[in-house]
Amino acid sequence: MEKPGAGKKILVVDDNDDSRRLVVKVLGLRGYEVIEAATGEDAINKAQTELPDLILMDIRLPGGIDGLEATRRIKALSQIAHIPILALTASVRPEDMQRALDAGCSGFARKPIDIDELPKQVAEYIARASSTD
Amino acid sequence: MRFNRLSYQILVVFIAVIIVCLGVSGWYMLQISEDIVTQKISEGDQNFAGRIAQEIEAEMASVKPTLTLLAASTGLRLMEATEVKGEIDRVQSSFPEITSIYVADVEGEQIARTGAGELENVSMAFSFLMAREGHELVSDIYLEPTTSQPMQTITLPIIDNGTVVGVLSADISFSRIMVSVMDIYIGKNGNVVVVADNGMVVAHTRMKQVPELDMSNLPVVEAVLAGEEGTMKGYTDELGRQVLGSYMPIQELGWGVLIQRPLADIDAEVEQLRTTILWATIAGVFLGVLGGTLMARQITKPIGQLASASERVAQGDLSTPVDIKSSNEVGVLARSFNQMIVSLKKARGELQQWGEELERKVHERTAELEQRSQELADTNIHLEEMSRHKSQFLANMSHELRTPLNSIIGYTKLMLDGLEGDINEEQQKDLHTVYTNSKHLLELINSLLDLAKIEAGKIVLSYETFTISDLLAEVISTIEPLVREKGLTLTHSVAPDIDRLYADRAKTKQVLINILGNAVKFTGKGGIRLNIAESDSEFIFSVTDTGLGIKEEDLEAIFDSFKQVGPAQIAGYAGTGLGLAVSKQFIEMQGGRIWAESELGKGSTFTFTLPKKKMISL
Repeated sequence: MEKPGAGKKILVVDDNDDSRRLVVKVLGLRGYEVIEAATGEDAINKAQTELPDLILMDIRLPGGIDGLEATRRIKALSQIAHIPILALTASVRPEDMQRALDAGCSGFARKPIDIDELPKQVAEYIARASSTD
Repeated sequence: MRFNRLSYQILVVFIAVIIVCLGVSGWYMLQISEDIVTQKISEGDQNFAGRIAQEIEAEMASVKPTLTLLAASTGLRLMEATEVKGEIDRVQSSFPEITSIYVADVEGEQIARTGAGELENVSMAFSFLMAREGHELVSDIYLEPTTSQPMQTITLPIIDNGTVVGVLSADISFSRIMVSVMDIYIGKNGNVVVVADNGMVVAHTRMKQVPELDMSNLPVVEAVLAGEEGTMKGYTDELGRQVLGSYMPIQELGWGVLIQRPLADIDAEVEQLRTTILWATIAGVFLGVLGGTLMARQITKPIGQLASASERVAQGDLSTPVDIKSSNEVGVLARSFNQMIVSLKKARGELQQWGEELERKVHERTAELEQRSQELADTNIHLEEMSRHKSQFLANMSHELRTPLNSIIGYTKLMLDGLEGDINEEQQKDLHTVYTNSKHLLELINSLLDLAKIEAGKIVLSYETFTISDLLAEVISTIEPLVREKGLTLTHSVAPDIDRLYADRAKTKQVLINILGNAVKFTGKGGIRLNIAESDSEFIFSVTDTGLGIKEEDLEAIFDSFKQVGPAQIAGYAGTGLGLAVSKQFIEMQGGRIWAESELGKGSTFTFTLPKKKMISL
């Protein structure tokens, strides 16, 4: 069976190991190559070295660089600025969403993750990004 | 001098009274001064004239009886001439007034005579002849030719058995009287005049030599020789002066004493009296004014003291009492005043004490209040901080709770979906139980977070304009799967004119999903109906189900977050969670109302309203 995610690389950024592993599992089951990062710094490094097709970025991250800051920095680096970033957030507040969009996110993935919905969203955004390339 | 008005008033009145009284009396005295002087002088003169008259009378009155006795004595008739001489010498030496005595026989031959003169024949003398005829003869006053002394001769018969046997004659001189009268000083120009019974002057103060002066034509002399006594004023006297004459008769001799003063002297005396009266009046006025001043000062001084004392008291100085020891009304007033000061002092002291006490208490209370206030403020700050910490804690905890829960839900779903390999039916059932309970727990945590945020004031409304149809589509797509799962029906109707809303879209959506979710949860069979209507001022959302229904007494409590978390769970409605409490907050924040109506066993209707707001943006 041809997996929808075959040949596509996803960077999942989440400080919580369980949450991150769930995403890895859900997407891995769909055939995606999933790379993990637990901190904003790691995320920026991995984005540069791995050049993923899409980044799932948890907004709340510990340490000096949170999800928004990491997004801003990635978007500031020209060779990786094109990579679409989906914000992982539990918030439904419009101002939070606006902040994420301002930082450079392309869209949102709701937390808690919906294991049915998330792969669909991921596929949709990758498709959208490649069509604009 | 501040308190002189009263003393001036008293003084002015006093002076006026003195001046009027003294003036009137002085004026009256001046008016009657002439009469007074006249009367005084005339009284004095009359008195004096009386005394002179008495003296003359006393001196002269004894002369004639002595002679009569001598003439009648038998010895004289029988004695030898020498013996007679001795007898008459003795008598003459006893009476200085008698200048000479002779005794003559019926022939006129002098038998004896006083002195050393030769005996004469007096048979041709008128007095002898009269006496020889048995008459007593008292001559008029005459002036002795050589000395010009007023003289009188008394000639008496010497009778023996009814027959005249001889004659006794004596010359009487008034020189002594004249001399004594001459020495009398009657004022500056006054004089004393003694007149004999024939009006002849016997003695005259102003004349060393008595002139042969007949004053019988003067009315005063007429009066005094008539035996009257009195005063006569304003006649012309023997010296041609206008005089005041006082007169007194010498009864025994039929003579008169006259004291005369020139009116000019009297006028001078009147003048003097007037001057005296004038000066006395002036002195009286002066003394009166002086006394009045002293008296006024004496009277007003304590009043002044009282006045200044009361002024001091009025200015709040209670330190100096009035020093008046008098026992009169002013003294009583002063004592009362001092007592008043003492009372005032005491009262003021008490007042001050009270004031200080009050101030102290106010100070204390203020300090206490300040302390309390500070404590309250501290407590408040502390409480606020605690509240903030609590909210922060809840928010953090909710997140912390949610994260593992999300993992539970995700992994359960992963297994439930068979993505990691098949599971048997029993396992699937169990996993489903895990899944639904986890979801419920997540809802509770989410509501808790919302409530915490509401309490912390962190929820802000975010108004926007949106279409009803979009909102409905989203809500229904969320609820539809649950409805289908339970085999229920979901219908909805929207009033035709409702198109757009201006509200907090996310919160409105959350409320709708909550109410619809509850309806689905508690409805076993039948349908759920969503109705959206409007009034003039509100949009009205209502959700009706055919579920268990709620007891009437619980209808309000289900919106109460605190009662919800209590142990007394609402029968048959357990597990609603905190959703309704959150919904109530969200609706009321937007100015709407939310309530429930229900009939137990038949179903419930939940209604909320949103006020129509002006759409500020598209």
